[in-house]
Amino acid sequence: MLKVKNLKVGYGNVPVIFDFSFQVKQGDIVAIVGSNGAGKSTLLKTISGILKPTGGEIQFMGERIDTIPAYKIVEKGISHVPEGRQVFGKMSIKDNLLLGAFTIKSEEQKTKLLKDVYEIFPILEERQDQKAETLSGGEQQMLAIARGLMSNPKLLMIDELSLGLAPFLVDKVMDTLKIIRNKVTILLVEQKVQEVLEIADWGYVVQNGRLAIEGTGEELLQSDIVKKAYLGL
Amino acid sequence: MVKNKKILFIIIAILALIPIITRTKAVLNAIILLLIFATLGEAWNIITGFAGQTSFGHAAFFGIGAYTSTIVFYRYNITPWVGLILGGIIAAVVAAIMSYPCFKLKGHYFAVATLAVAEIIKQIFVSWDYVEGATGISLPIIQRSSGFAKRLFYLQFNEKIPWVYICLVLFTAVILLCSYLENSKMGYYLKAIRESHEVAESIGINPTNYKLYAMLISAFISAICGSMYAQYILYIDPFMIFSLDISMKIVLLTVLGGVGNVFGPIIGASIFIPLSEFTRIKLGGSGTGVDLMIYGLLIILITCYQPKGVIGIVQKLTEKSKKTNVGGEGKIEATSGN
Repeated sequence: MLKVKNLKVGYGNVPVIFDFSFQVKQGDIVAIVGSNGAGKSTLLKTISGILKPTGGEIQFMGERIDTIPAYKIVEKGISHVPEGRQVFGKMSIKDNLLLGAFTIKSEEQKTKLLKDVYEIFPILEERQDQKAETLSGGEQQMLAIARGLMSNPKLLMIDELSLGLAPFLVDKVMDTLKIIRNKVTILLVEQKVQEVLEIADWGYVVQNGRLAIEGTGEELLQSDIVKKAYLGL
Repeated sequence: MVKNKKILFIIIAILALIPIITRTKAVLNAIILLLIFATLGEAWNIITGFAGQTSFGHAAFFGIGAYTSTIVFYRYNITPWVGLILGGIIAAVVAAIMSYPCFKLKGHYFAVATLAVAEIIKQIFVSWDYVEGATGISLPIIQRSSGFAKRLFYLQFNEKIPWVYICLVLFTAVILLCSYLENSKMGYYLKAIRESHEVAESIGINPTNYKLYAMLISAFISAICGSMYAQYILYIDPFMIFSLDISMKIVLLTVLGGVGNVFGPIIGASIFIPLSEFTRIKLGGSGTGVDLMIYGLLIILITCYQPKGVIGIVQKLTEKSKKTNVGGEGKIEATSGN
C-alpha cells in the first residue's frame, strides 16, 4: 500500500535520512523504531508532505505522492497524528474531531465517522463539549488519534504515541490500536521499542537515518541489535 | 452567541445615543475616530486574531483605500462611494500580491515583512506625481449650501453627526461579519491554522488559501475605513496615511482590548482614542506622545498580567461571579505543543 524507495531527506544542507526504503502492507501494523534523532519523525513528515524529500520516491496505492502538497495527501487517504498530540486546546473535543473531517464533504458521512469514533473512544463522547486542553495526556492522545481517524484514512500514521504518557496509559492507548487496526492500516513511529514491537506485524529499526534491521515484531525483539541497543539486555 | 448579540446591541445603542446627549465637537470627533479605528481593529483581527498572522502593515491597505477614493474624486469627479469599493478591491489585489511571498514566512518574519511592504508602498506614493507625491491632496470641497442628498452622494458633511451614524453603520456591518466569520467553518479553519500550521495541514486544510481569504477580507475592510477617514479629514498625504503610527495603533488597540475576540477592538478603541484625543486637546502641541506613553504602559501591564486584553479581565470577573458547577472532572493539563 505504501512504498518508500531510496528516500533522502534533509533540513537545509543537513541530511537526516540517507537512502531509506521500506513498505507497509494493507491491514498491518508497521512500526518504525529507533532512538532520538534517528530520523523517525522526519520520515513521517515527509510521507505526509510537510517536508519534501531531496531524493527517492514515495508511492501510495500505486501513485506517487512525494510531489503533491500536504493538504492533498490527506485526501488520498493518509492521516498523520503529529508528535506531542497537538490537539486544538481552546476548542471543544467535538470541534477538534470535526476539524479532522475537513476533507469529508458530506455531512452524513461526517456524522457517521463521529459516531464510529465515539464508539472506539467513549470517553470523548462523554466530554465532547469540554475544551481539549482540559483532557489528561492520555485522553489528548486518544483525541489526536480520533481526529486522525475522522478523515476516514486508509493509512494512519502515529508519531510518538507514548510521548509524555505514564506507562499504564501507554498500554491503554496501545489497546485501542488493536481495535482500530480492523478498519485502517497503521504506521507507528516509536521510541518505546518493547511495547510497540509486541503489537507490530512488521518492524524497521532506524539508526542515524539508515535502515539497520527489519523483521516481524517478534524477530526484532529477539535480535541482538535491538536487545543491546534498546532493551538493555 | 445570544449573549454576545445582546452586548453588541448595547454597545451600538450607547454609541447611537451619544450624539443626542452631547453635540460637543470634540466628543463627536472622538466617537468617529473611535469607530473608524475599531473597524480597522476588526479587520486586523481577522488575519491576526483568527488566523494568527501578525500584520504590522495594515496602514498600507488603509492608505490605498484613502488614496483610491480621493483620486477618483479629485481627478475624475466620481463619487467616493465608487472609489470606496474600488479602493477595497485594489487593496485586496495588493494584499494578494504581497501575501504570496509573505505567507512563505512564519511568525515574526511575516510581521516584519508586512511592515516592510507598507513602507515600500508609502515610498511609492511619496514619489508618485499622479497622486501629488509628498504634498498630499486636499479634497475639493463641494458648495456649503448643497442639500443633504448631494452631501451624502459626495460624502462630505458640515456636521459631525452624519459621520457618527455612517461610521456606526460601517462598524456594525463589519462586527456582524466578523462574528459570523468566527463561528463559520472558515473561522474554525483559521483558528486551526493559528494554533498549529502543521497540524492544520496534516488534517487536509490548505493553510495558504485560507490565510489568503482572511487577508483579502481584512484588506478590503481596511481600505473602506481609509476612504471614510480621507472623506472625513478631507486632506491626505503619504506620511500621515501610510504611517507606521496607524499600523501600530490598529495593532495596539486590538491587543489592549483582546486579540481574537470580536469585542476586543471596540473595547481597545474606546479606551485608546478618547485617551489620545483628550491628551491632544489638553496638552496641545507639547503633549503629543503622552497618550502613546500612557498607552505603552497599559500595553506592558496588559501583556504581563492579562495577555487576553481587557476582555480577559472581564471574562475572569464574570466567571468568578457564576462559578457554580462549571468545569468537568477532567484533569487540567497543559496542551502539549512543539
